[in-house]
Amino acid sequence: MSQVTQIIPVTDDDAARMVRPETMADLAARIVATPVDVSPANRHRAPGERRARNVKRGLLAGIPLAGAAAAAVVLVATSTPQPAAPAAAPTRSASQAPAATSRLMSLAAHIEAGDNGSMPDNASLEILNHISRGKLWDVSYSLYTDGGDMYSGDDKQTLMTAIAQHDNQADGANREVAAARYAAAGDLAAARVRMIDTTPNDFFLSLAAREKLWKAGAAARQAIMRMKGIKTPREMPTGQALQDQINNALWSECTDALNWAGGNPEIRAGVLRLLSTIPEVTVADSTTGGQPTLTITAGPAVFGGDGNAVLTVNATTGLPVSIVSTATGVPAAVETYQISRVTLANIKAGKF
Amino acid sequence: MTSPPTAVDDGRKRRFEALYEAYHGAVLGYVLRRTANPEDAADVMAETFMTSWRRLNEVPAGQEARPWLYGVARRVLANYHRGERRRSALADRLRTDLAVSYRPPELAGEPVRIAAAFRRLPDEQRELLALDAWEGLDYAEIAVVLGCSRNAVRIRMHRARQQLARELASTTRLENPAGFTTRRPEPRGLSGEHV
Repeated sequence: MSQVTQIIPVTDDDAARMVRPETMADLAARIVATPVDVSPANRHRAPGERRARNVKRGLLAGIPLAGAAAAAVVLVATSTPQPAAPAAAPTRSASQAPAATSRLMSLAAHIEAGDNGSMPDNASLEILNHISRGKLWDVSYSLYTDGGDMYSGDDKQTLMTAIAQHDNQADGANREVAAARYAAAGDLAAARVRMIDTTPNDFFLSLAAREKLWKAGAAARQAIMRMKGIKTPREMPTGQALQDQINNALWSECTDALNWAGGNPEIRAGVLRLLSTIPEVTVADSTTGGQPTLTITAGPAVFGGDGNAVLTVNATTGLPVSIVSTATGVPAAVETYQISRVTLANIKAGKF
Repeated sequence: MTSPPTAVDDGRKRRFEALYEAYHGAVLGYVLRRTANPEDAADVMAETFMTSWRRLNEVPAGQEARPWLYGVARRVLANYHRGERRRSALADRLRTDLAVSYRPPELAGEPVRIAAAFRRLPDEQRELLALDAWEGLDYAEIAVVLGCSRNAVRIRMHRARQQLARELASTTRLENPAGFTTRRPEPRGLSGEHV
């Protein structure tokens, strides 16, 4: 149990008991009696609009399948290279799977063979730009050394500080990266399970064991659903729904691995091999900034509802270029990668 | 001049009432956990839902509304902490109810030490850990509240957990004079899923 949980000052249930229902109703009545200017111009300038728009992207990026709404592929104009317009939300065509598998496996083999534009030095620096509504929202810096150490920061200075303080995050955050590394050369089926198991799940238990766990967790699940305002009881996913959830987890963990160590050829080869195991993923040729790229699309089957995510990688090196997450009614969320090979010493000295 | 109510107005009210019904308890809990007195909590609660009434068209549907509301409450709280306290007539009754029923939390034993370490963290780190442990939000939802990316949340959460571990270790050392064996928290364990 979280230590911080032990010091919660007041629970939601406690808070609810402190206020009479009629008091709560009175507050709501007073609020809705207040006139508001809801003209489009006023709405457009609302300071929190950007945050509201980000909700869909956040849920798309996470595990939940049910949160994604209807897809509308939109690319945001930015100063950084953008992928070519991706295909519309893919249908779940089994005939597409072998082609996608073949393309991804071929690129992974190409990377592993060493013809990947690999550079010298001893670490990969990854600068991840998060863009929404055409504006740079935030930036994260990740350094992954060839020895497996991982450092991160919000900017150059905090990255340098993390290195100086030996704040190596490999102990807690490298499970996805380790699974991707294993996938590069190991048994792919085992690697798939290993990557999915980087977060706790019951996916691979027997049906009886899953049902037992599902029943045991009913009270806690209902409490969480109540807290989140979900009133429709959830069924335990089975069959294709379970497979979709597994694939969702696999995609999410793979992109996390890329966010940490996409500059490492072994890691990205492993990720590509793993993504090739998702039957619903499609691959298309594209061009980004004049360079040939592949757009790897995970559609509604992976994200639930009509959500969509497009990973664009360099067609020759497999280096990630961007991830675009979309959902109906909200602008696309874009994460662009700037990856370079560096030396730890240079980064430590601020030479980057 | 006030226009007569329209079908649009009615629909807007219904949407707000549904939002309020679903989340007023969660927002009140969030606010009470972060204010020093119930009077402030009542005002922040009222201001948060007034803001959501004004910006109803921006409120995401379904469960995504909760982190959005927390984000609004967080900004309202920030204004309060900057000294922009305003007693709202809207919150009169709520203020009265809370003044009568609110009792400050009483901690004893190990939680006292945890609370002391927690208080020494910077505001941003405290909020990250609280959103995880008290609000039960995942990284994507925390990103919505804080207005940053999921990746940034992951990175900052790691630092916050490490800092809390250091503060706890420091507390342990203070409580144990030299010469006594001190069992220090294991940093590796504290950098896991939860502190």
